[in-house]
Amino acid sequence: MRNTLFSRCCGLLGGILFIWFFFWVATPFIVARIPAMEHYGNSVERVGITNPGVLYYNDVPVTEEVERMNRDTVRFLPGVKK
Amino acid sequence: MSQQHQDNVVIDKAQSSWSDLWTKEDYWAIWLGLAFCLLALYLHVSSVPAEYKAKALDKIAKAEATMQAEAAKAPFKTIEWYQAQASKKVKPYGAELAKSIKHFMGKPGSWTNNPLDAFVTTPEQAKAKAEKAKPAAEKAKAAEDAALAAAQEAQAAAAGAEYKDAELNKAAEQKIADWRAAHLKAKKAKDKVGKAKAFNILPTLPVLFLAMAICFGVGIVFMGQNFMQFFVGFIGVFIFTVLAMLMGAQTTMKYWGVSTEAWAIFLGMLIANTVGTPKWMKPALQVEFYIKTGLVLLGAEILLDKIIAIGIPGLFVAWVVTPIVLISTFIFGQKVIKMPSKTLNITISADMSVCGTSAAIAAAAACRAKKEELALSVGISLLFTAIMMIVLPAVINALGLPEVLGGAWIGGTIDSTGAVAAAGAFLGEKAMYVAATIKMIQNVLIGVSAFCIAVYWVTKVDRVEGADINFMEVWHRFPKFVLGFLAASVIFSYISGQLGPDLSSGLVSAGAIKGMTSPLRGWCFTLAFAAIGLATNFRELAHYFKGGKPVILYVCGQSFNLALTLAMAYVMFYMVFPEITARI
Repeated sequence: MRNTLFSRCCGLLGGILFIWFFFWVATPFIVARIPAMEHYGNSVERVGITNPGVLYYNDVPVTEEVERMNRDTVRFLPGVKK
Repeated sequence: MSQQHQDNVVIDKAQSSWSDLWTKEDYWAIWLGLAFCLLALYLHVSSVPAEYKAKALDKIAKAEATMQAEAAKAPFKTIEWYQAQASKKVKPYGAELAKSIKHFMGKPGSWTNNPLDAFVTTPEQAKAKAEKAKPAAEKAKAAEDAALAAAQEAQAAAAGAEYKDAELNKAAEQKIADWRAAHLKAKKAKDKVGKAKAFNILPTLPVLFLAMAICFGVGIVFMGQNFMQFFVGFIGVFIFTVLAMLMGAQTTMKYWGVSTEAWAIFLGMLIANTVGTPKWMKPALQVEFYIKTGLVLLGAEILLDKIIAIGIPGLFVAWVVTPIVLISTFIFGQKVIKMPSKTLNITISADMSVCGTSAAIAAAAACRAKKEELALSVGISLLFTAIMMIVLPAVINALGLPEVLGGAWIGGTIDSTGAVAAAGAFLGEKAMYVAATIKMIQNVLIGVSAFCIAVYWVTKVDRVEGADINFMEVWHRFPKFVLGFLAASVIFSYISGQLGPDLSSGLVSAGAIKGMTSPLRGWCFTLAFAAIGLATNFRELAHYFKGGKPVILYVCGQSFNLALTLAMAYVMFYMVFPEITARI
């Protein structure tokens, strides 16, 4: 296929169609058939993020709470008389 | 003949001069990044009234006294322990200017089918969302109250036996755990009502664009490039960045973890390899400038006091295993797999062993890796993270591993923090707590990794044959932005240490960092990845993938990481510090 503007636009349109198909058609189909996927999606929502691919721990709101709790557990360890 | 040969050899002589301070990209990244970091500290920490701090410290002291007393009283965390712990949370101090800056850095929100929902929520839509969420919030609150009553009754029974009856203690612990789960569910349901607020970022995006274009543009001018060409190109790159953020916020991403940065590369490559990146955008494809500025801002988030968040077991799993895996994988890549590119090798090794994309960015910048190598590393990490975030929890369940061990395993091996927290939550609350903390401690390792990689590259890899290595030579070649990155980390860590963990959590972490430096860091990195995508050719990328060596390296390194992390987690959490594990 010659590298014409038409073929390049077709390539771009093909890419956009692939994105639409994968995320709006295929993903709901896959999630409906694999319970682990749906459970995982619920887990992502539970930790307060929309995208598990976020870059750093500060982008995951639950880490602040988690860090405070773990730090206080170690500092104020129950059953250990100080 | 030898004289002619001598004339043809390029003698690489790195040089520095004072004018570098205002003409070199590394220094502009430092000035821009550090200026914003210091502004954030001023608005969120320095300008906090003394009475606000005194009141917060008093609240913290009272809560800690209660926690100390409760810890001495019972062999488990009592209801009063949890309530005191929650009461000492410090809210970030919000000066008006700080609130405005945060408002103007707003990015597209979550959406499902209508992309406009990511930019605008009208007051009527917000009210409808809040009304819809209210019944669930009320139901969750009622469940929490019932669980609290049951927990109080069980705790009273255990206290009646002076906490000497193991059965009553176990029953009380279980009821308290049930109450905690109900409390967290009620909190989430309440937050859903509270977060249903009207917002509109359409007017703020142009203001943010202008501010960023001017800040970066000033640096561009001093670096000898054309401001207007950059400004015009930046319009395109900024719009592209917003598009990538839009895709990253689509709700289906929760299943695949395709981050904003990955979308920026993917969409950029789609354009570059089909219709082609417009020539007018090319002056704004300043990949390294955006990445280095983003890294200096990221430095502010590397708080060294976080590394002791879960005590010595966490430190060993995160800071002993990680360097071993990083160095071993790099050596394996060079000696066994024979990776043609050392920079690709170290970028993949850091990505896999430390904490995913952020570590890859820092490593790539420190060793001056090519943008295609960074893109490839991020792509491989994304693929394996998507697989591991489902498979690893399933394996942990199948093996019947305890939650704390499973959480530590997940935290030390899965690349991205979001996927770690979600995979941990998949197993249970305890697993999520441990997983997220281990990953957070690994995240803090980025600073040390970047510095060590930069030093190693300058003194060993890029060393000219026969040349002396002295301090000045190292200085000339050293990527200077790493100093800004470390300076931001040291400044923020020092202030965080001085304030103490709870005050720091409110003023520094929730205030200066989440309110200012972190959002801008996100914009810088997405701009950088958009620029990478728009400048990357599929054929060039395929060249680095030849023989599948990058994937082989990742798989071998990750396999070693999985084995070593599991072993270290077991030793630390179950053999050396079982008392910490029992109380998590």
